[in-house]
Amino acid sequence: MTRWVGERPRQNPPGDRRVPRAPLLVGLALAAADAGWVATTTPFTAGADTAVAVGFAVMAVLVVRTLRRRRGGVRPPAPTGALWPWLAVIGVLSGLELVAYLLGGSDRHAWPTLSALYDGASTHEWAKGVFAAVWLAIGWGLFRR
Amino acid sequence: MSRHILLGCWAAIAVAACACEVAAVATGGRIRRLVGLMATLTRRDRVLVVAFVGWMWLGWHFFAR
Repeated sequence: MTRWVGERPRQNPPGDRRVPRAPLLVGLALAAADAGWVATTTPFTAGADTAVAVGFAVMAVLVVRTLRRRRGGVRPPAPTGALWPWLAVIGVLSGLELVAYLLGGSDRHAWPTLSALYDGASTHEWAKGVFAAVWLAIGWGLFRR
Repeated sequence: MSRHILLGCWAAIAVAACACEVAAVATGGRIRRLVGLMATLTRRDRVLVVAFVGWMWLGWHFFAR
C-alpha cells in the first residue's frame, strides 16, 4: 500500500493506547447521545432496555476486539504506580455499602446505600444522564485495551 | 442522624477518589490513575469477561430495571 509523505499510519503501534482525535470525538458524541437517551427512558420499558442494550453492544465489540488483540500477542505495557490509595477507597466504599445495607433494612432513607442515593438523584434527567455517562466511561476504561 | 453521617461518608469517599486521581496526575505516576487501575484489574482475559458481565449488570440494575 502506498503511504504518502506525512501521512499518519492508520493504526497505533502495539501498546500505544492513544485514540485518534476524529474517532474519539465521534465516540464521545455517541456516548453522550446514548447517555442522554438512557436519561429520558423509564425503567421496565422497551425504551430503557434498548438504550442500555446499545451500550452493551458497543462494549461487547470492544471486549471482543481486546481479546483478539491479546490472542494476537498485542498487550499494552503493565501500568505502574502505587495501587494502595485506590484499594483503600474501594475497601472503604464496599464496607460502607455493606454497613448501610445491613443496618438499614427497609429504612433506606436513614441508611442510604449507593442504589438509594442513585434512586433519589435519578428523578432528575440530567443527573441520570451523568450517571449513564459515568457508566459508559467506566466501560470504556475497562474494556478498551 | 445516621443519614447525615452516611451522606458525609459518601461525600468523603467521592472526595478521596478525586484526590487519588489528582495525586496520580500531580505526582507523575507514583500513584496509579483510575484508568491504570482498570487496566490492572482486566489484564487477564477471564477477569475482563467477568468485568464485562458485572458492568452490564450495573447498567441493567440502575437504568433498565
